[in-house]
Amino acid sequence: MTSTTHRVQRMLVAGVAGVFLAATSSFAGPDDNTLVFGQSQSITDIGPAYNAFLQYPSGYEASFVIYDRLVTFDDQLRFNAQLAESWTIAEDQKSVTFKLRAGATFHDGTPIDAAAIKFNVERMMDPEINTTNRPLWDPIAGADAIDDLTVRLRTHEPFALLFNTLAHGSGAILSPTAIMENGQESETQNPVGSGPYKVESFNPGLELVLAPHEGYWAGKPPLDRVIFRYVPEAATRVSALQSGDVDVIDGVPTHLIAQIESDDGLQVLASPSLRPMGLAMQTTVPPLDNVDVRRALNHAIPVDAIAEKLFLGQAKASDSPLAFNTVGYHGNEPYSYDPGKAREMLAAAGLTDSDGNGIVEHDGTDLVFTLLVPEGVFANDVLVAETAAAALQEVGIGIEIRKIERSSFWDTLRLPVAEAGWQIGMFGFNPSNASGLYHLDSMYTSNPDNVGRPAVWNITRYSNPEVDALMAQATVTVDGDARAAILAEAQDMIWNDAPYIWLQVNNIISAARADLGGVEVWPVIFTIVRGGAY
Amino acid sequence: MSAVSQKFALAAVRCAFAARWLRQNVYLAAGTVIVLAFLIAAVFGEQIAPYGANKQNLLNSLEGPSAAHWLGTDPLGRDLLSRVVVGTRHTLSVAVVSVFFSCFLGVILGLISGFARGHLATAVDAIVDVALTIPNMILAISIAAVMGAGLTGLIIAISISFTPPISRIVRGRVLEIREEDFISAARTIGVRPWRILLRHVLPNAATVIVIEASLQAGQAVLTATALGFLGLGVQPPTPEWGTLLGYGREYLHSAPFMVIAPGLAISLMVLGFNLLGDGLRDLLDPRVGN
Repeated sequence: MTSTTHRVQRMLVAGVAGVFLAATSSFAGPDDNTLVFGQSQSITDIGPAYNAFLQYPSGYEASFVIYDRLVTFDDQLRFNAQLAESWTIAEDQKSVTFKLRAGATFHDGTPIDAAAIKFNVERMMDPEINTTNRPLWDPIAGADAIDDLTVRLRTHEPFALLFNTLAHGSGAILSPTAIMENGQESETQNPVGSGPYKVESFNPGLELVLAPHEGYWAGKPPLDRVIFRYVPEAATRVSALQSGDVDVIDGVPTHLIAQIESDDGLQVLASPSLRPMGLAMQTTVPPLDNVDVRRALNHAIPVDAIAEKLFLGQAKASDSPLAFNTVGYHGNEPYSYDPGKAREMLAAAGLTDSDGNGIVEHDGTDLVFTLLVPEGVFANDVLVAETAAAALQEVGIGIEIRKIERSSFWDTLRLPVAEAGWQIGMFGFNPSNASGLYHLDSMYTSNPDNVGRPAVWNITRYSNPEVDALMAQATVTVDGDARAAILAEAQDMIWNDAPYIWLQVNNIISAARADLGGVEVWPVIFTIVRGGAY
Repeated sequence: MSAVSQKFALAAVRCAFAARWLRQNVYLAAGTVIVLAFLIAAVFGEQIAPYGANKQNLLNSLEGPSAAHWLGTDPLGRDLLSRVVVGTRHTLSVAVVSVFFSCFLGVILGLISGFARGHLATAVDAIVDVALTIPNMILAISIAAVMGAGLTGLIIAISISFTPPISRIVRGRVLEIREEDFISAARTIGVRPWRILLRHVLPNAATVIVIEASLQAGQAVLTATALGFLGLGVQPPTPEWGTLLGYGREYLHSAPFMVIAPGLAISLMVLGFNLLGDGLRDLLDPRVGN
């Protein structure tokens, strides 16, 4: 029904424009060589700085088509050359010299040279311009243009994650000419990059239309148009894909996979994500400041059953603060599902139910936590919260679920402790530069002010000086194996200190027409249509 | 007129009366039975429901209707029939309480604007006129969005958005009544305006108010469940029909029974209130059916 309504609306619009279009298939598919991507989130701005692709992950997904970076990821998150052709790392590990690809041009026809790279790197180092992704760029000291096609990047200390930063969405290279002509903030609505497709029209929040960049360094792109369209409802996205209104969709709920698989004309694209889900506990609020209580709660949740039954196997119970495919992941002994043991541990911590109402008392009153959950931000978020609430009630912990509107969710998570109004909150961090170090550092390094807003994403106010020291050490350890060993030690500590009730790692599930190739689903939850072709 | 035709005419009139009586009573009876049934479910929900409304069993998730689960189960294996039965209390109490409040407010405003003269009546009229230009669903959504998801917000939202139409209907009736001779008579002998309003006008407007209230109750059910559908209803895991329906729409292809259960309940309750309202109107309002 929804697709019919959609069609009627479109016909009306087309009629007003004086263009009669008899069938919607002329908007999408191989017939007119157009790729339409139905996205679960809208795109409101498309620049790497300022709001930095405010809506997640839609803005990043568009940016990977519009812009090039010095290096890029492949779908296994290995580094590949993009605008850089080759590089050499200095002996003191404090600078890297890049040789650029010859003949590459921006959408406005200006050449991509060392000066352009220097301009962009210095822009991202400017705190006034790069307001969102600063931790990624802070270790960089500067850039020097050595000749037209050679550029050197300097770092304050050996910087293990330099390539992760350059391959990140904020590493996009923009035309300096366009920025100087149109103003610093023009990038958010009218970006000029050098990727295979350039912006033809942009209707923020609704639709972004891209046309091929004829001067693209790897040859003329195969598609005539790439269109990003916001389709918020999951069921509507699947119907639109089935009816041919769109060619690619993201955010497919697990219960709709079978519907797509039963259609021969469609393919499911899945990849394990790098985002481990969990229930953050305020570790400064009694009795959650007691590590035994936090461990007990970890024994109370049937995570395997959640992964198996709620996600129909498209998820796996965590065994580390990092997801299984993150660089630096190290597995630990899982917390077994054992409500009896959880009750014993709570009793040992002094939390018992003396009035027989099924809820344990803390300081003489029933222990009831508020569980904060968004609707429609994480896969099955409300259902997982309801399951967890029932399981915690089973061991005597009272839970009041507070479902919150998605637009205010992120801010509520980061409120100062006294104003937060929640003690347990659902959260999953996505390391968008694919680095385990960045992930652990963002979530578990002590906050400078442990009652105010967290500096990055340490919303549990977890504070362990040993973990802080390991993070500092890992940041200056360039050797991959040595860094992995440090991260493994940190993961053991964090896992055992249990600032989270660890839940599951989901698969990212997208879908596309079967005759469309080259669409990649990256574990950093991005669906990349840059290489799409029929 | 011959005796035979007189007999026919009499028979025809009797038939018409019988048909009218039956129609009134069928509507009234059907409406009463349905509303009473929901009332019982609302009071004794937990006792009637075959399972606990929040009793999860992940091993039984998304099972279709069966002997054990008449309306099927949701993704957490909760029995949908039990959730719908227990959810009755929420929807019915929102409808009844908010209609009570909107009638209370609406009657006061309607009496003032219909009976009083001067600035007060003009001011009330102006406010009601402005409120009437805002579609009541939009008004309810805005109020509920500000108040947040929860019972109080829902009741306030619906009460406020339903007040203007009731006030307008009461005003119309009051304007009619106040031109009647018995009102002029009361005035002439010096009865105080407030006494006239309470002793003579209000009782005569009561019929309209009762009928309107039962029809509004059906609308209130729709508005309450619509707000729940949009995520402005209650906090999980409370079973609420609109929320159940909203959640089920994602499963329209794979598990249509998720929307059928709450959908049927909503339709049936609205039907019950509408039949009751129509029946009451036929029975009480002398202007209908003449």
